[in-house]
Order: sequence, then C-alpha cells, then structure tokens
Amino acid sequence: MIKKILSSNLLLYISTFLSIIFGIFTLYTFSGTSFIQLNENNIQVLLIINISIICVLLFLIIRKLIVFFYKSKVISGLSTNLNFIKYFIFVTAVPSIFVAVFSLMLFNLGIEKWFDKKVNDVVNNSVEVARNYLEENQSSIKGEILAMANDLNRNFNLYSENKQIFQNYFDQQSRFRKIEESYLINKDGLLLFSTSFSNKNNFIAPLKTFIDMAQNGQTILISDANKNQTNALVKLSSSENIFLYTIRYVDPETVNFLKNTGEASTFYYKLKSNSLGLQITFAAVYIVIVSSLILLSSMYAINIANKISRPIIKLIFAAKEVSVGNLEVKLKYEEEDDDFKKLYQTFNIMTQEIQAQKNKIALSERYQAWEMVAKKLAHEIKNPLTPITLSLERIKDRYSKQINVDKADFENYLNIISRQVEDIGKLANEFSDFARMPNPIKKSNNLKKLIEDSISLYKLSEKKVIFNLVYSSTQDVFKFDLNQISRVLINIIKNSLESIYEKQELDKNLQGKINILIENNNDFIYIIIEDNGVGFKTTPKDLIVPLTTTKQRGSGLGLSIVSKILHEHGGDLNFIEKSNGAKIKLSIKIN
Amino acid sequence: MRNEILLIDDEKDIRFAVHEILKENNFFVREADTVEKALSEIKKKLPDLVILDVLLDEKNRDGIDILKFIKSIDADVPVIMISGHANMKLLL
Repeated sequence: MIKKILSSNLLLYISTFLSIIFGIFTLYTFSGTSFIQLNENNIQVLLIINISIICVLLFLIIRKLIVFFYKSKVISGLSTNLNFIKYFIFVTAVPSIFVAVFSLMLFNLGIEKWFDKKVNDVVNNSVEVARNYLEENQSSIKGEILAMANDLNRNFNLYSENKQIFQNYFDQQSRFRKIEESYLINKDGLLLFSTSFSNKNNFIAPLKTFIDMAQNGQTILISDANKNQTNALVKLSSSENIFLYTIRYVDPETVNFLKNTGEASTFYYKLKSNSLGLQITFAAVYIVIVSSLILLSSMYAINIANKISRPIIKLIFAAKEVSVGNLEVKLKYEEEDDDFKKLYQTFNIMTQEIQAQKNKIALSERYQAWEMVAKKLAHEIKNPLTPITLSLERIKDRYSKQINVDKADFENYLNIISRQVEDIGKLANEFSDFARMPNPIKKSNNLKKLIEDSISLYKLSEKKVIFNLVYSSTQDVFKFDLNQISRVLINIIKNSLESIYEKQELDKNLQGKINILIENNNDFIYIIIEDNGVGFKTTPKDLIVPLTTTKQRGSGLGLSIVSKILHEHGGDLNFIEKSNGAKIKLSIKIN
Repeated sequence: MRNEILLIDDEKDIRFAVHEILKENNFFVREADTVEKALSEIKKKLPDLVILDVLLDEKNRDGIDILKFIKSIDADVPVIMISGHANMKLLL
C-alpha cells in the first residue's frame, strides 16, 4: 500500500502543492502582509514546515532518479531519455540557481538597509518624540494640580462655611483646568469631597505609599497607560489632613501611539542585536523556497522527458526485436503525437512487407530444394527400373514355357513384381513431374467452365457421391494456366473422393458429399471445397510439405503440387477446420 | 542380311538384357560402355544399326557426340536413342 502511494505521483503532486502554498505564505509573513504576525516563533514554525516538505520532495525526487538511473543501466536504449533529463535539469536548474543567488544578495542588501543610520535615527527620534510628549503632558498636569491646590488653599474657608458655594467653586476649578475627576481625600484615602460630575462609585483611593509621599510635600503623578489616565496627588497646605486627588483622561489614540512606538523600538533593537540571525533565517527561508522550486522543476523535467522519449524508446525496442528476426512485433499507437502515429504505421507496414517477402523467399527456396530432391529421386529410381523390366519380360518369355510344376505360382510372382515395378515407375514419374513443372502460362480462361467440366467427368463415374456446385463469383474469365489449375482441381477432388471411399469402407450407407463454392473479391477468386470423408489425419499444414501423405499408396506430392501452382498464381492453399470431413480454401489472384 | 548392331550403354545390366533379346532374334551384337570404346568400335566397322544411350556417365561427352560422329561418317546409318529421362530439349 505504502509502496503504491510512493510510486504514484499523488504524493508528489500533494507535496508540490503544499511547498508552493507554504513558500508563498512564508514570503508574505516575512513581508508582514500575512494574517499571522511576523515574530520569531511563527517564522521558526514556518521554516520547520517548509523544510519538512522539502525533505519529502527531495526523497521522492531522489528515489525517482535512482529508479530511473538504475533502469537505464539495466535496459539499454534509455540513454536518449537520460540525455533529455540532463538537458532539462540543466536548462531549468542553472538559471534558477543564478536568479536565486542574485535575489539573495538583494535580500541581504535590503536587510542591511534596515539597520543603517537613517533608519536608526528615525526610530530613535520617534521614541524621543514620544518621551517628550509624555513628559510635557505630565508637567502640564503637575502645573494644573499645583495651581488648583493653590486656589483651593486660598478659599478653603468656604469648605467649612458654605458647602454649596465650595461645591460650585470646586466644580469650576476642575472644569477650568480640564480635569475630569477631582476628589478631596484624607490621609487614610477616605473620600471627603468630589466634583458634582465625578463618578463617585468608581472611586479608587491611591496607594498608601503615594499618600505618605504627598504628606511629605511631594507632588505625585501616577500614569496608568492601561486606563488611559494620569492621576495626580498633592497635599493641601491649608489643612492638616486633606489631599487633592485629580484624574485626567488621556486621548486613547495618543496612548496607543506611545505604546506602539515603545514596542516597535523594542522590537527594532531586538532585531538589530540579532541581525546576523535574521539574515540567516531570511536566507534559509529563501533557499528553502527556491530549492523546492528547483526540485519541482527537475521532477517535472523527468516526467516530461519520460513522456517525450517514451515513443522513441518503444521504437528502439521494436527495431531491436526486428533486428533479431522477430518480424511479428507491432507498434501500438497509444497517446503519441500524430507524427509518431504515422511512423508507427509505416514501421508496421515495413515489418509486414519484410515478413511477407521472407515467407515468399522461404517458400520458393523450399520448392527449389524439393525440386532438386525430386529430380534426383526420379533419376535414381528410374535407372534400375529399365533393366528390371527388361529382365522380367525375358524371364516371362523364356522360362514360363519350361516351368511345369507350380506354373501358376511362378506367373503370379512375376506379376506381383511387375505390378510393383509399375507403381514405382509411376511414383518416379510423379517426382519428375513435380521437379519439372514448368512456369505457368497464363491466358484468359473461363474458370466456371473449367470447374463444371471437371465435375461433370466425376459426376458420371461416381454414383455414390453427390456434387454440389455454387458459383457466386462475379468474375469467371481471367488469366490463369488452364492445365495447371485443372490439375489443382482434379487433385483436390480426387483427395476428397478417396477420403469419402475410406469412410464408406467403414460405413456402407454413407452418402458422400462434395460441396464446391466459388467466391471473389477485387483481388482474389476463392474456391472452397468441402467433403464429408475421413478428414485430415495429420496437421493439415504438414500436407503441403512434399512426401507427406496419409494415404496408403500416396506419393505425398499432390498437395505440394497444388500449393506450388497456387503460389505461382499469386494465391494460397488454406485448410479450414471442420469436425466431420475436410475443408480447403484455394485462392487465385485475379491478374 | 544386315544384322550387325552396336549397343552403347554404360549400364551393364541393360546391356545384358538387351543383348540377350537381340541375340535370341538372331542379331549380331557388339557392345560399348564408354564414348571412347564406342568411337573405336564405329571406326573398326560401321554397324547396320546403333542403339545409343544418351546419358553416358561421363563428364564432357555423351551420346549426342557419338551420334554426331556417326552422322559425319554416314548419315544413313539408323540410330535408336534411348534415355531414362524424357527430356525434350535434348531431342531437339
């Protein structure tokens, strides 16, 4: 299962997709436009993810390359493919590496810019501005609270005399000085008095430490950035135990600005102190992304090279097969280009032609060899036959008169010898016929008439066999050697008759049947002859080899002669399988 | 009566059989098994009839050479040519 997943391209596609996604994501994060923050932790996580994906990719690619190189060593003919891949990798990898190196240099230049003097000054200045603003704000608050305390001291008698007028005066002072909340507290932090618009429920007393410090005459300023407010505490000189406690709200935006400036400058200095580390991280991210792209392109280069060279490799293998003599090899068209389709078709036609030529040559060589054998056999058999026949005749003439005892036996023996010698003579004649068969003399003849004539002869003599002729050919007059084709027909019909006789010896009631069907197409006339005799007792194909016979007294030349004549007429002799009897298909080329 | 026959054949068995038949029919028979012997027999005395096997088992010469020789001496001497192989080309 795991092997299957590894060998399939699915894992490759997935890791390709992931590496691209994470590469882009990392770059975005680095430029600060991603949805996650640019901080050390995130960058480390992203780097680890990227490197893991690269490792998977690297593993897949190396595995593929090893398999590929191993294969190309085992199977020759893949060197084309290997060259393709080398070129592809070269063409894709070299420019990418150059681009990567230059980009990295630019990157470094960019990082160095970050830390040059101008940027440094800007950061420092903004921190300075923030600090100044804060100080100014605080000193203004300090001034206000001191002035307010002063005014209250002067009119503090109102506090005990007329609470209503003091309330108005207190409110007025607070409003005038833009102080949101003003309280009077004692040294225990207990609330004594407040402006009418203060939110008494939210009142929280300042820390005892601050109160003690105010008791000693100090003006206390408490900035609470989280609450966006600045609190001030001062002792009223007119009374022993009363403190003025004010709260002024600061503009939240200003507070945020101050906060951000602080954080940014902290981060900036942290980065600056670690700028070498940053450069290395940056380079690592970059190298990881670029190398994943290079690996990817190599991977696809291998796939593309495979695709391009596959048809050529197929051709190489097919050609190799042909070179060792296997002409049966066929190139199957799958998904190759049209050009390859044409090439394959041509290749297939070529091999077919060669095969046909080879068969033709082999056949004619075989005929030649058999002709030689037949000629020699005929000669060697015929030579002794003459003196044998002569001597036999002499014995008959001269000695039959002198024999008195067992004369009948004597003559019988002589007759047997004479008959057998005659058979041998016939055989020898058949051999020399086969050997000396002339080239066909093709003239316009009527095939239909020839077949009808041949059958009509047999119809008269063979009462126990039914002949059935179906002539459905559209052509009956064409050029062929009348004598030779007639010989073919007689030979085949004779074979059928003999095979029917043989069967009738076992089954006296058998009605012999010979069907003859003639058909044609544009190039050939076909004569199909079918009988219900004993059929072929051997593999039919062997029967066209001279001297092969299944008959008791056959020379084994009949079907060889038929086959030879048909071949010289551009045709062929085919045996069609049939369970009961024999079926033969003859073809003759029209012109 | 003209009854002298020259029998030329390289096959001993054939010469024997033919000789016997001819002898029984009162012919006088001379025999030759090679071209050389045949020519010398002809030179000795021209026979009344020649029975000639065309293919004599010799490399350069055969019965046709003997026939030509006989015809060059006397075109009227009858020659019966015998052959185990019906080869029309040779006859013509």
